Amino acid sequence: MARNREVAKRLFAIEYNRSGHEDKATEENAPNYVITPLGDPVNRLYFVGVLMSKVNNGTEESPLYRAEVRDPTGTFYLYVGQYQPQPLSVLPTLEPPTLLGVVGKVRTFTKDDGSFYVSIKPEVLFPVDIPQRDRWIVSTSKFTLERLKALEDAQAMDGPAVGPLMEKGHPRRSAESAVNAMSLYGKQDLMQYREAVKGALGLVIEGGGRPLMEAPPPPKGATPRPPDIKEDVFKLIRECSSEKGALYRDIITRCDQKGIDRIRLEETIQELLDEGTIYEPTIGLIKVI
Amino acid sequence: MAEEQIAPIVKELKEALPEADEEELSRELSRYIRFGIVPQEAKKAILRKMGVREPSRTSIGHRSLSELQGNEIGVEVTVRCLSSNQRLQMTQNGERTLCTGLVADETMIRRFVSWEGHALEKDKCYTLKGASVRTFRGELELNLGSYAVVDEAPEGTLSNLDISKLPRYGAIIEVSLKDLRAGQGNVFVKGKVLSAEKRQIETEKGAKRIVDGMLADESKRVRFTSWHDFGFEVGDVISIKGAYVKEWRGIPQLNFDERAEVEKLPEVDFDVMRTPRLAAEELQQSGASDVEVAGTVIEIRDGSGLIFRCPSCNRALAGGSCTVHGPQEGIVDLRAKIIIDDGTGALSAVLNTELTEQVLGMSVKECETKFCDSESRLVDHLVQKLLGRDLVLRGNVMKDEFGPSMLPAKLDDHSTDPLEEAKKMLSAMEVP
Repeated sequence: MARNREVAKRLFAIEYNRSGHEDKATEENAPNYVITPLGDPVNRLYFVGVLMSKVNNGTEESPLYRAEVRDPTGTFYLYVGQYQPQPLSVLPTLEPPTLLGVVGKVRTFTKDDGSFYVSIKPEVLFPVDIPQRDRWIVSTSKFTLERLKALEDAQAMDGPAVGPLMEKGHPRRSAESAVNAMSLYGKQDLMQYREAVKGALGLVIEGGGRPLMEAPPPPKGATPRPPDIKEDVFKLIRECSSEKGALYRDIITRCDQKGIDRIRLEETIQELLDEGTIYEPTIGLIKVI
Repeated sequence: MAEEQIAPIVKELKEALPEADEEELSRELSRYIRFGIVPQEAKKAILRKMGVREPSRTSIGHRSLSELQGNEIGVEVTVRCLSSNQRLQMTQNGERTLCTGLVADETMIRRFVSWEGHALEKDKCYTLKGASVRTFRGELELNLGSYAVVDEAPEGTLSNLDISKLPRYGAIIEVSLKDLRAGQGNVFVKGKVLSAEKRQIETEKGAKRIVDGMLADESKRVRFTSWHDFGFEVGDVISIKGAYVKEWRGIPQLNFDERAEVEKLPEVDFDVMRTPRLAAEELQQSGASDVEVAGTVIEIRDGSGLIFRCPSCNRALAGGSCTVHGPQEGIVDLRAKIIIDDGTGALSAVLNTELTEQVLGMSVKECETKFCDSESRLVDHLVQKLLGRDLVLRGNVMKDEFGPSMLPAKLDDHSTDPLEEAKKMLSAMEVP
C-alpha cells in the first residue's frame, strides 16, 4: 500500500514555533515530523501571513533567502534556496508587506547544546487576499481548537489514552495528538494557545473580511503609544550574551520574567535587526554588533 | 513391558523411518516406556524427535459447519468451495502461499484458511480431514494446517446444495453509508433511494429483473445493485439487512439479492438534498460517488495545460506518440492536474476541458491562439489562476495505490462567510 501524500497541516505560528520534538524517520524515504506542543505531527503545512522581510544571505548566483511571514500569532521563518524553485522565482518579485500563502515542509535545527529550532522550507508561495486569509484563520482555528480541547480533556485524565478521548467525542486525529502531547511535553499552560486563537478570530472580525485596500482608517485622535522597550530589550540581550551571542529562548525567558509581551519582543528584536544594532548569525542566536 | 507389545510399534516406527536402525528404535522406545509413557505417545514423540510429521491425527469425527464451536482440532467436514484466493504471506518461516476463501455445506457458509499449499478450487467439493477451528475477528474459521488432508469428494456430493438458501457469511453489522468498505459481507444499512433503474438480465436460470441505482443517507451516496426486484421506488426510505459490498475503482458499491431483507421505512427520512461533503482523510480510506470536497489547491502538477490526445483512443500523447496507436497528429485538449488539500488529507483531481476553461476564463481555441508560441506561459497562467485557490469540487472520487483522485463534474469557489464563522466560534469560546 502506497503511503498517502502528506497532508498540509493548518496551524498557527505560535504552536509551530514552540515545538520541541521531532519524529525522525528511521526508514529510507520515510517522512520526518515535527511534533507540536499540542501533539500534532507535522511534515507539511499551509499558512497565510504577511511577508515582513526577505534577505538574501547567499550570493547572486546561489541565493539563500531568509524570509519572515507573520500570522496573527507569531512569525514563520522561511529559508529559500536553489532547491525551492517555485518560491525562489516568486520571492524576489514580492515587496513586503504582502499577504502570502505558503505551503512548505518542516525544517529543524538542533544546536550542540540541544536547543531545538523549527523553520520552513517552502514548496510554493502564492499571493492571497483578505477573504482567503480569513478562511485560513477560521479553518486553522478549528483544527487548533480540536487539538486544544482534546488536550485539555487529556490533562484532566488519569493516564490519558486515545480510546477514552474518542468516547468523549474527540476525533481520532486530535485524541492521538493529545496523547502524544502529554507524553512528550507533560502538563503545559494551554491558555496561551486559547488566547492566540481568540486573537486570530478577532482579526477576522475586526478586518471584516474587507480587501486590504479598504482597511478601516486609523481611529481619530492620538493613540497612546506603548512605552518604548527597545532600550530594555537591548540591555537584556547584552545581559544574556556569551561570547557567541544570546540564545533567543534565553531572551524570551528573561522578557517573560520582566513581563514584556512576546509579540512586542519579537517586533522589537526585528526593529533592532533592521537597524543593524544586532544580528542573527544562526537561527535562534542573537548577537550584538 | 513385554517384547510383543513393543515389537509392533517398532515395526510401525521402522516403516516411517526406513533409514533408522531397528535396535536403536527399540532402545529409544523402551526409554520412554520406562518413564511410564504409553507406547502410542512414545511413538509420536520419537517421530517428532526424528523430524517426521504425524500425517493424521485422531479425528473427532465428521461435523456439519453449523455444529462447529471454535476450538476443535481434527475435524472432518464435507464442503463445496465457494471462493478461493491465493496470496503470498511473509511468516517467520519465510514466504508461504496462503489460500483463503469460503466453503459451504447444507447448513451454512464458513471461511477457510489453508497454510500448507492445499489449494481449493471454486465450485469443487471436498472432504477436509484434520482441520482445526479457531475464531478470527469474531468469526469461526477452518484452518488447514500440516495435519490436514484435503480429498476431492466423489461426484454428486452436495448436489442439492443451494447457496442462495443459506444465510450470508458473517455476523450482520449495522453501518452508515459512509462506513461501507469493500469486502464487508453482511451489512445492515438504511438510506433513501435517489434513483432506481430496473433492467432485465439473462442468467443461467433464465431472465431476471435487477435494479441499479443510488442510495443516500446524510453521510454519503452509494451506488447499489439489487439482484432481485424488491419493489421499492425512487424516494422510498428503505432498510437492507444482509447486503454485501464490492468496489469499483476504490468506490464502495452495495449489492444485495433475494437473501437480503428489504423493508420500507415510511416513518424515517433522510435529508439528502445537499451533496455530502467529505473530509480528504475519509476519502483516503475509501472512494465515493458524487461528493463534495472543499480545500485549497496546493500544487499544479506536470501534465497540466494544453495536451494532445490520440484520435483513436483519446489517450494523452507523450512526445507526439500514443502508447497504443503510435505517432499521431493529436487533437488538442486542455486540462489541469491539481492537488487539493483540506488540512485533513490531500487528493489529486483532474479538471476536464470545461472546468479548465472555466478556471482560465478562456476556451481551448483562445488558449491555442494566445499561447501557441509558448506552452509554459499557459501553464504559468494556469498556476496564477489556480494555485492557492480555495475550491469546492464535486464529483466521483476513485481510489487506487496512488491515493484518492477526483474527476470533478463541478467546480466552485469557496463561498462560506469567514466573518460569520469567526463570530460563531468566538462566542462558543466565551462559554465556559
